[in-house]
Formats: sequence, structure tokens, C-alpha cells
Amino acid sequence: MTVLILADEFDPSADQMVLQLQGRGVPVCRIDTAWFPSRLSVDAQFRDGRWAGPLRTPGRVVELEEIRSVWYRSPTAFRFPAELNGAERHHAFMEAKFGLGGVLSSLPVLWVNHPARVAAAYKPVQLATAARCGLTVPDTVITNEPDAVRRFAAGGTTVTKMLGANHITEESIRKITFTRIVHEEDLADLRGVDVSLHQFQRWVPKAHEARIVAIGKQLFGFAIHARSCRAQVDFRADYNSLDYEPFDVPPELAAGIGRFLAAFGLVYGAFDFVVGPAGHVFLECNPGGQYGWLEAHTGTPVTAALADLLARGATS
Amino acid sequence: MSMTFADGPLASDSEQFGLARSRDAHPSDEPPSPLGVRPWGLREMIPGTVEGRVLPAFTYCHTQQVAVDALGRPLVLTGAADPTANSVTNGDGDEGRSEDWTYDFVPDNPQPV
Repeated sequence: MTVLILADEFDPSADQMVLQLQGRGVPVCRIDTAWFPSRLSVDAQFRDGRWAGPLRTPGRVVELEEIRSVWYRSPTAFRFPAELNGAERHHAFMEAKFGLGGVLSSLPVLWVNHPARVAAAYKPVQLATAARCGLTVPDTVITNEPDAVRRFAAGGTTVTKMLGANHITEESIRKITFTRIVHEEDLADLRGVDVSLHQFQRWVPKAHEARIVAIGKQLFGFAIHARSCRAQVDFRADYNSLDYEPFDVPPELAAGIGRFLAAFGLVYGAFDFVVGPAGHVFLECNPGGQYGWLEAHTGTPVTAALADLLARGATS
Repeated sequence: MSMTFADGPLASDSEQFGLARSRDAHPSDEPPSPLGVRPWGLREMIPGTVEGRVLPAFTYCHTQQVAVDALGRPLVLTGAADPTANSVTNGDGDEGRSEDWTYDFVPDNPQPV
């Protein structure tokens, strides 16, 4: 029985996992969906109530019915011949997505995580779910009304952050932004707030931040200490100023995280919290969040724990 | 664990098997919209700066199933793919592999690729 890893060709965490599983003698097949159709072919037949048949890559053939678990890491988009016109390309893309994505998604095996579960984890849904699960969440407003922004900001120090990706590409340049404090000069000119929805949150006084990596029922806590002003607001803004320290997750917090995972049907999650006078305040859970750099800094065996789960093929 | 698609109405059919940006996707060269048209949240967007290491040249080895250097050695064993390397804001306009080293990724590309 094989562990299927769906990942980009360049992914150090996936590399580590392949080596970890191979070292244990666990069959592993790594596929990037970008190989379809030139380097990945599919012969899936529906029989006996499930999809069966081979996925063929240049280095492996894996039978769908031989897969024990799937690590849905971050596979990249299909690549089609350049000669296709735009409509043809879109058609081919969607047929491949519904076909290959549908066949794989139907496999009755352990998924870390099932892609449909990942897709459901929109940030506002996360906040509502976290609160229902007993986690503390920050006061938040999502609006495209400038007056609502001013009203909320009048209540105390406010930050703004993206609901989705924090980067775009325009002018052929990759641009990025982080969580930032909303200042008076920001409030003086809110043109463009009405163009789309924006998220604002009350600043949560913090001693430090924490990422808690959940793997099945195991939790790995990492305190993230910032030594610069930029990183104090958003640790992603200045990785060079960060120190990391493993910590044991308090039982009550662990219970809330467990309820959150169950609510979304997730078996893996990278949770970010602010830690301060209010305790652990939930910011978000990334169902595909990274852990490699935390493992490298602290020596915490996260890859091994995830390999245990994938090799076992069950969540308990 | 349920094997059906999530029943939440938010995720589109396409997103339910999300795929990351294609390696050969062309970066948009469109300029920013004028003030007032551009979403307010994008005002503080800045070009990513190279604060960390340049990602290494590599090829993917289908036999070993990992990224390898020119000598066929796995990058994670040579230290060339150190996950502590900070390239999250690597935005030199080349796109390169920086997006693959962001610490959080977007699980889907909303545009047809």
C-alpha cells in the first residue's frame, strides 16, 4: 500500500517526507499534477464501487486501489500544449480537474487534507467556527463601507489583514503585504475600501505569537518571539528577527483545536495564535500551512509525526 | 471522515481540487489602477525584497522522487534546500521559485491556467 504525495517538484518538506517514508520502507509515490498530460497519464476504471487503475509517471506506476493515504501538499496546475487557444486550454484544464481531481478525491483513504475540506476553510468561516469551538477570537469587522471602518477603528487600535493571499503580481513584479496597524492617515483616505471587502481586527496585545501544528491528534506548539517592530505586528514580515521555542499546548486549548479540526473535517492544520494577557487568541488555521522551518529551527520531529499518520492511513 | 465534497457553498467546483500557480505561468504586467479604483487593502503592497538566499538550481529526479542538484544529490541532504532560508519576500520580478517557499500558500489559482 502506497502513500501518494501530491506536491510541486520543488518542495523541501515533500522531499523530507519522501526520504522519511523510504527510510521506513513505506512505498511512496510523489506526483505533481503539472505533469499532466505530458508526464502523467491516467487509466481509471470504475469497478466494484470505486475507481481503480494506474496513474503512470516517468518513474512510477501506482494503482489507485493500492493507495493507503494521500498528502495533498501543493500540487501545481496542469500544463497543456502552448498551441491550444484560450478556450481550448480552459476546457482542457477543467476537464482534467474534474476528471483527475474527481477520481482522486473519491478515494476512500486518509487525506491530509482532503482538498474540498481545505477549500471550505474561508477565514470568516474559520472565525465563526473557532468561536463555536471555544477558542477566543479577536473583534473583527469585514466591510466595504468606509464609515464602518472609522466606527470600528474608533474603538481601539486596529489592524487590517487580507482575507486571502497577501501577495499579487502586477507590473511583472511580485508584491506583498502583511498585517499592519491602521493609522490616522489611513483613516483620512479610505478611497478604495468600497471596491471590495476588507478585514479589520482589534489589535490583540501580545507577548508573542504561536503556531500550533496539528497532526491527527498530536499537537506541536511553537512560540514565535519577534525582535523587530515589523515582526511584532506580523511575524511573516521579518523572519530574520524571530526566535522559536517549542511549548506544550494547554489541554483546554488543545480541546478547542480538536473541535475545530473535527468541524472542518481536517486532520492537519497550522494554527496561528496571539499569546498575551487574553491568553491564546485565534487568528487563523492554514490547512496547508508550513512547518518545515519550525522543525529545522527547533528539531521538533514534525515530519516523523506526519509520516506516522500517512503510513498508518488512519487518523487515530 | 466523510469522502464527499464539502457541503459549504463557498468553495467553487474548481477550488474543491485546488492547484497552485503553474511553474510557467506568466506574471501579469498590468499597472495598478488609479487611487479610488484600486482596492484600499492593496495600497501598502510593496515589491518583495530579496532578504534571504536565492533558491537553488535543481532538477526533479523521478527515481529518487526529490529535487536534486547537478550531481544528483538531494537538495535537502546537501543543505541547498534549507527550509529555514528566508525567501518569503523574494520578489525580484522573476517569480522564480519564491512562491513555493512562502510559508503559507494559496491552495488555488482563481484564473484558468
